[in-house]
Amino acid sequence: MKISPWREPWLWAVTVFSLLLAVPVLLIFTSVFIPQKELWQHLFATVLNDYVYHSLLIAFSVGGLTLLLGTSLAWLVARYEFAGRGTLQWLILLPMAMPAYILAYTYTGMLDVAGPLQTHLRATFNWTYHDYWFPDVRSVGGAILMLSLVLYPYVYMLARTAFSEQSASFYEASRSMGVSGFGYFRKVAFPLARPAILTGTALAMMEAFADYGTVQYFGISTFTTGIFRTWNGLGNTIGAAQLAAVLTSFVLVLLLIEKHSRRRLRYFHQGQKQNSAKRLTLTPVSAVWAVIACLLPVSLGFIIPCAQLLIWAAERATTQIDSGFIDLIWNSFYLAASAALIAVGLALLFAYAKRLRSHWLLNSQVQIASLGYAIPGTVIAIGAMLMLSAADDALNALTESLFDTSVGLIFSGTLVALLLAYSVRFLAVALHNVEAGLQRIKPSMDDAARSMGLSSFAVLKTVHIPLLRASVLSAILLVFVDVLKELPATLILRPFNFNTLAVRTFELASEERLQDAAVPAIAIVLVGILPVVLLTRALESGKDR
Amino acid sequence: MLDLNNISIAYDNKTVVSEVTFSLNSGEIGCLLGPSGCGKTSILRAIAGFEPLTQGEIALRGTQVASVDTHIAPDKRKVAVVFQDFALFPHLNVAQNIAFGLHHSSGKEKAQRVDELLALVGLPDIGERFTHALSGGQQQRVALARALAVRPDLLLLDEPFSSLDAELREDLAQDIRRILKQAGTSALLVTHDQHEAFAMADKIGVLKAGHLLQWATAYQLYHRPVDKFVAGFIGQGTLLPGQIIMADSADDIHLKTKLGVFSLTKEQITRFAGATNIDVLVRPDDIVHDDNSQNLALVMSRAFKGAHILYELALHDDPSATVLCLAPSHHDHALGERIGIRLDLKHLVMFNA
Repeated sequence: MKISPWREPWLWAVTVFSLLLAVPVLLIFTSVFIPQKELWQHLFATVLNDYVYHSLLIAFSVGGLTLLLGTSLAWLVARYEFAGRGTLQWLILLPMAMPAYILAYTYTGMLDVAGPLQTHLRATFNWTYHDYWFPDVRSVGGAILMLSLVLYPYVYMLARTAFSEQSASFYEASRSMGVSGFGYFRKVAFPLARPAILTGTALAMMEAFADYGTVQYFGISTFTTGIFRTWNGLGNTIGAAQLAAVLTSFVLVLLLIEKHSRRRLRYFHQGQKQNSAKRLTLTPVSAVWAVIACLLPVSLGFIIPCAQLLIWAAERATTQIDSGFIDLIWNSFYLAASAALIAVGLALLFAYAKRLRSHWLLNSQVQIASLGYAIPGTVIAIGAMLMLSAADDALNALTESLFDTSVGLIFSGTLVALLLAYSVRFLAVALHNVEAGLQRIKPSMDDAARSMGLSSFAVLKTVHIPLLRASVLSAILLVFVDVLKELPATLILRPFNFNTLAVRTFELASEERLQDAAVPAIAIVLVGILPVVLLTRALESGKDR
Repeated sequence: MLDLNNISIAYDNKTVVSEVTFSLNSGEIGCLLGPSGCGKTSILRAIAGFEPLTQGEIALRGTQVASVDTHIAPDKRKVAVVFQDFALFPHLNVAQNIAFGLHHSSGKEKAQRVDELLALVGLPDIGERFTHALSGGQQQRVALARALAVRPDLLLLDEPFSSLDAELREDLAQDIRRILKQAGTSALLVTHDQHEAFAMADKIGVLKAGHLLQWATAYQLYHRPVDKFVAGFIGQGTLLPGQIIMADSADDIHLKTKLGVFSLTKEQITRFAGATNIDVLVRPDDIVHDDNSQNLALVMSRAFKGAHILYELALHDDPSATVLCLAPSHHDHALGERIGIRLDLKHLVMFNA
């Protein structure tokens, strides 16, 4: 007897929620059918070239740089043994805690004409402004560097796992056939780790495409700043959605390439698991170089900017930490916490639905709903805006015809909009963690517990909840931190006069009040360290298995 | 070809192989046999150049390649290894895997060598396939072809059949022996399975806890084991207690067991001088089931083996003195029955009790 999956109510729930999450992105794509001839003529004539050129240049350069940096650091740490390796291997992850826009304005403050470094140079060598050349941080090159410094850990993390999982016998087989050292890296280790490395690179590139804060702060025209300008400056939401559709297409192409490169991944894990290769001990001189190589990106991407932020914050703490700051913290906290709970709740629903009924339609619904992680926050915000203002319009028309009164913008003008956008963007993060936890609860465990006379509720209580707790908590934490750091969607969708730490940091920095921005920035960075700690622990326990 | 002289290997000051000595002649196939953790794989890895020695030396073709102070790099030893997990590169196809070690050959030479080897291992036409599309047996042959591609002086095989189905193992072992003999390659394999060792090897070394107990042919290991461990590890059999009986003269010494009284050779007399309690190794082929025999033994347990039934029999109804007997399959006797046996002992294998 075959039961139609549609007889079960929670499958309907999955359908409704996945549609709800898919609508903003679908609206972005349907917007291309509404002609905006004038806008596009204007864009072609003026800034469109810049948008395409800068977005692609930044994304691909960041991809290349993170690939180089992440892979070499991973190879060093996975393959060689040297003093301090244990500490360095997680220090390298720290720049993940640093949002690119905070890095951008910190370096601007440090390296600008009026900044401490140039002032010092001028004082030392008795130069004036025109006597010397100094690289401009606020440039496309600067943006590429800032983004690469905070995004290389994606590549590093995946590459390190891939390298350390490679069986020792691969290395020994190569050695006995006369291939070792760099030859082994080039001919065996890198090709084997390539799917993982490309996944990391693709993630870094998606983040680069999605970046708004850095490029806006540096005054670079890209798709994200263009979308914002078209929506905010020109007041053309449809036009903004159309630009967003183009940007999303870039990202989706990237996603397809990445999926394609992972096609053969499962074959790379065939056979019995052998011991992973023993690390080679470096000579003392090489070890010093290795430590320097590991410390350099961490210093540039975390330690130095953090130190600068702390100095600024110390100068301004007394004036900045006031009741306004407490409001900021409270706003950020309850917004991030609500978003995290909603996203993890949805993730639990989706994950359990998939586990109990593996139906192709259900699976594809869940997959579409979790595509949001690839889509820039700016795009999702515009989509959510389109969807919720339509809902508001319809509701107001209805109440006016019925009660002769309007309820106002109860969806698009409230936190509902932000929570929707965050759910779209971060569901995948939550789902990934919850599914990983659920995978450890084998269906045979349910059967075993049921056969020992436990009710389904008892099974949930005694088996599922204890086993799932850790992954649910880490899912909540990860979404919480992501929401706290999120900038563009919050900027677009926040209710009037509603500020968060990220928004306030960015506003203060944009007003050139860099020292004042340091206090909320430090708060964001501190919270951002939490998931790095979590990741480090996950990577460590993964190694013991 | 290969000479190990008194070698020891240690990990973190823990000795895993101590004072092992053996030699392998050119074209011979040797085997290190022992339970897991006996140090056999460590010896293989030391010969390949993956582990350093703490004592002794290893020579290949008369040249020292490893000692406490010398360590020739693995790729300079002309030794090839077939790994337990085959270590076939999943990102390369079969032909590319086989050609991996052929750095100095032209493209045409490589292609020719690959074809030769695929023909040798009986798998022509699979050069373009990827390794994950191959069966375990095919992967094994490709790994062998890859190792042979560089024309090594010595081929090392680490548990070469452990990841294959039991039915495949012995066929493949025979096949690989044929391929190696055809290529004239000397080889040393490591296994815990004596049937693989018998099927592949000319010489077998039995290891226990890092010590090489005996290095000999399969026939010698079975019929002339040097100690109780080898006797128990190789083949089936039981140890039957016996007493040395001194008669009037020193030359007239006998061994009394539940199977009867045996006279001892001069050599045995010298070897067991002074001992009274002795264990005698009795193999199943030493005991012949004969329905007409007056010599009866009690059936303690039985195992149906198809063509034969293996009986464990108690002599004189004494459960501490048992022997094994392979009876033809139709001689179907129940537990507790007494069946006739006849002794067909060609030589005595004795150990101090």
